Amino acid sequence: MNIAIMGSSAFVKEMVEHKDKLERLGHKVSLHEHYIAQANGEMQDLINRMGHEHAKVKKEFDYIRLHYNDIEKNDAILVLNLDRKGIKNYIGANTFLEIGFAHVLGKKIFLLNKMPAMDYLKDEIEAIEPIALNGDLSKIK
Amino acid sequence: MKIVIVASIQFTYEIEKITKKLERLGYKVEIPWAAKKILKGDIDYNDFMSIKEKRGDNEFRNKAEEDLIIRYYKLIKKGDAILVLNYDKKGIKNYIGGNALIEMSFAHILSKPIYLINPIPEMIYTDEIKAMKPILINGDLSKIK
Repeated sequence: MNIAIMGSSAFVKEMVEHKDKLERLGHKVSLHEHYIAQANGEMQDLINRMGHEHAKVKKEFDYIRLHYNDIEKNDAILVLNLDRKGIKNYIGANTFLEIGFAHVLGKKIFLLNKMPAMDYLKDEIEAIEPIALNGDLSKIK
Repeated sequence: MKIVIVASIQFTYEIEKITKKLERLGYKVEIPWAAKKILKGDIDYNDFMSIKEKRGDNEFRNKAEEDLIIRYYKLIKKGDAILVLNYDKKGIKNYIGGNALIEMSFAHILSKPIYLINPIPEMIYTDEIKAMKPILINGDLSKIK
């Protein structure tokens, strides 16, 4: 299966780890080049800018559209909803939008962990019904 | 020009008022499924709000003929612009909820202009809202072009 990995940019290392794991399971994996570079310790300037001019960087690279285009080319998305900011199985706003894109494009949506208890996305995520893997990548079919 | 209104169902009666104003200005208007049902009298506003508060809105979504997220994606695709009615809600000035945020992102990737009736709210996803470059009209519908 062709799978695009999505998640917070705080999880770039875990994204690369999951890319490798999925490839070992025979999947073809798409991960944005900026994430791979950041996981390799590159693009420090961009990482610093994300800290103090987050919205500007998002506008400049139009990450929302880049991820939409990436999802369009794949069969499924895997969302790395790891714990962050004290929230279990965190899904940030950008990732939430990517789940919406995958839904309207008719792609399968896998969450690495269970749905988070986050108010703003509860109704939509329940309606979309993503498949929670509970960490088990072999469940991706 | 067809405008798709993006708003919380809590603001159904404001949606109705804005729709009438836009229609008087010559626009065609699309509104959310549940707001349409409430205004037609098929769903009771107070029932909707009280069930949504207790259990979310999925039992209403399940009654719809089609998936409501996909319905709005298609309407935005066919429309020319969206107008987000970001009124104060839950103690947040100019609130934009998760549903509206998703619909704004559809407009963004479909390259449709995004109009906000009020300024951008201060919320956890303010940066994502800014990244979609919404046009602020401060209540003035004549600014929609």
